[in-house]
Amino acid sequence: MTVRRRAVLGGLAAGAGLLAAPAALGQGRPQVVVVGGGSGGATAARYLAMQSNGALDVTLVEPSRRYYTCYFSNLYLGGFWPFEDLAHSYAALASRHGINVLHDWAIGVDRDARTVTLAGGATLPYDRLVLSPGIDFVEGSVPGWDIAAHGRMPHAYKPGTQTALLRAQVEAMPEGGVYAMVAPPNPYRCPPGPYERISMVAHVLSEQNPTAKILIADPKESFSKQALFEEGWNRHYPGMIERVGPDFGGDVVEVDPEAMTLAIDGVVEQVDVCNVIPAQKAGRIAELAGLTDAAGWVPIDAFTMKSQADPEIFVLGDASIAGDMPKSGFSANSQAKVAVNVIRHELLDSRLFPARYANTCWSLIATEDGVKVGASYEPTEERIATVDSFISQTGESAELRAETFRESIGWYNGIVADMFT
Amino acid sequence: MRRLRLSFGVVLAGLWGAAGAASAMEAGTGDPVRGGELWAQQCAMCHALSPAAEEGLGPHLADLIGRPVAGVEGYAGYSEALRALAGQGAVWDVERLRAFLRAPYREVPGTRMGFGGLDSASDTDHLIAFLTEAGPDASTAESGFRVPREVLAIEGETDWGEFLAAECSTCHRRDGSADGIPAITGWDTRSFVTVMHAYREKVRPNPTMQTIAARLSDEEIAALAAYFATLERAPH
Ligand SMILES: Cc1cc2nc3c(=O)[nH]c(=O)nc-3n(C[C@H](O)[C@H](O)[C@H](O)COP(=O)(O)OP(=O)(O)OC[C@H]3O[C@@H](n4cnc5c(N)ncnc54)[C@H](O)[C@@H]3O)c2cc1C
Repeated sequence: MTVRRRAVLGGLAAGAGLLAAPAALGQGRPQVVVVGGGSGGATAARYLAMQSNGALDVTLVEPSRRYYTCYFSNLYLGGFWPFEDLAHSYAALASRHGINVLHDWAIGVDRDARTVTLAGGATLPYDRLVLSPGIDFVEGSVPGWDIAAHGRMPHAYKPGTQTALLRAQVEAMPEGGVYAMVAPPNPYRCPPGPYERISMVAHVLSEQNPTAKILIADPKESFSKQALFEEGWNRHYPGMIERVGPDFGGDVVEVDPEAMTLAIDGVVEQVDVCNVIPAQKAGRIAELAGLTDAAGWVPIDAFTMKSQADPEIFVLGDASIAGDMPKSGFSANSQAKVAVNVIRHELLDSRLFPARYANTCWSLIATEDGVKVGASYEPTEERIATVDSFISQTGESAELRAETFRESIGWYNGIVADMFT
Repeated sequence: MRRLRLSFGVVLAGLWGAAGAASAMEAGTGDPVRGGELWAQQCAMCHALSPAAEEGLGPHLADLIGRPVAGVEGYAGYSEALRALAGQGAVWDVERLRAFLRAPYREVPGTRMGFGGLDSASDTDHLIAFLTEAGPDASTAESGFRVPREVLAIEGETDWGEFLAAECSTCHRRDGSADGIPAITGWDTRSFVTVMHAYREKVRPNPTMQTIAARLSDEEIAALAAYFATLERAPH
């Protein structure tokens, strides 16, 4: 370890002038760079700093000054959560935990030199690198749509302004208009996310525009919590929602953002809002680092969250192929803690505990009608595998559903505190 | 929302208002035997029925009906919220208890009771019938879930507990604050261990906690209890 660190510092001295101040501060301490300040990255940076009492030099690279959560962005669409409350500042990570927070983009990883290059020009050396860059969209996955069209046909699957735009479009729908969603193929972030969104849009429309219709073109046979969502839609929003699955061409769609049309299996519909959620892949930096497979995701070692291609790089959250775990904020947070335990062990010789993972995803179907699905997981040689799982039941009492909804608020406040305080 | 708000607030208050005295509802239609089962499943991990019993996580509930809110002398764990109610002279009459048992966090925001509420009005009736019958000294009626002495005696390792606690911290906040998900900091280890075992044995409801507890060994539960005992309760 000492030898290696000296080598890194030597390399640094040679490359004089490219040093950002934070790296200079880290002399003598092992350096960990975290790319992406979302569910996985913010948790990892915070736990690395918090649990190592200054023994690690932790740098977090994240372009945004505030992190807008995707979680509860659907509740914002439904009018159940204020937009401001989706935003979280990195201030405490810097001031309280001594993390070097750099608001910049990582644009390259030199795995031989063990450095990360930033768009602003800095080069950061690392002993261990954590990548948690979330997702990017697969170009051409929805014919007619590209990222330039997101102003007319928002994806709202990366948070912030896109979510606000989608809500404004829903509110501006003409009486009796059509809200269309192009749902994504597996795998994608937050399996119940599109269907919770449908529920929230239906909630708003049923109050403001009750003759409006919702049309979902879906390439998947079935989807997460399907029985629970369909029961809820029948009960709360009867007749409003139509889902076209692959049997009826839901997987053969084309959009025209100029004309605001959606063609499902050749049948063209004029729509008022078109929420296109394209197919997904790991955030681009994972690909630039040469860690992704043919499908665009990063294979990892289930015991450590290390990339299978590079034992000094840990890949968390949506970008990773985490076996049975869904791509969720909860999962990313859970994976970060496993990675931190391994990194501290390798760099600081702290105690190594066996990896364990967990996830619960709550969804809101209507006012105080909350459901959840969750599981515990453990690493195996092949993958991260489910140990035990549960799901809300159809026909549950209104009281239990309300309790589940309240629990989701507790979870939201809990996880953002676990990332940002 | 509308339906819930009605059943929790307006309708209940309205009915009782019309009935005149809250005492008219006493014990009501509840079945004390069924209430005793609910007591064993949902309450007895934290509450005793006798003032003589060892102090649990919550105060003893002997002679609860008619007792002043936050009224057990020497019990230090009452929330600010309950104390504030007590300051207004509130008493645990049937009406207040019914509303509280259905939705503790809503009735008394800030309560430390780690319980989300009973599922139905009839369960509430049953439990109140049981508590009413249990009366002044009903320690014999206490049939709660018990963890064997030798398991309670396991010394937890705090650093192991700290690692395991990372899993809990996704939902339960380490600063002890709580909203919708109970605070678990600063509990005495005996209560913590008992509650976790009750989840593991699926005696306590909530599938998330049952799943989390299912794979915890006795030693891991002890480690978690030891770690969380070192954290402060929320300053309310
Ligand atoms: C509508 C919706 C609802 C959801 N609801 C839930 C829910 O209820 N519960 C739940 O658990 N999950 C939910 N999710 C899923 C959750 O948001 C993601 O799974 C989770 O955020 C993934 O964490 P991550 O760290 O992989 O990525 P993110 O949280 O997306 O973080 C990635 C970060 O990396 C940064 N980044 C990317 N590339 C670079 C680069 N090159 N350099 C520097 N920084 C970079 C980005 O700016 C971003 O901040 C939802 C998602 C959506 C879309």
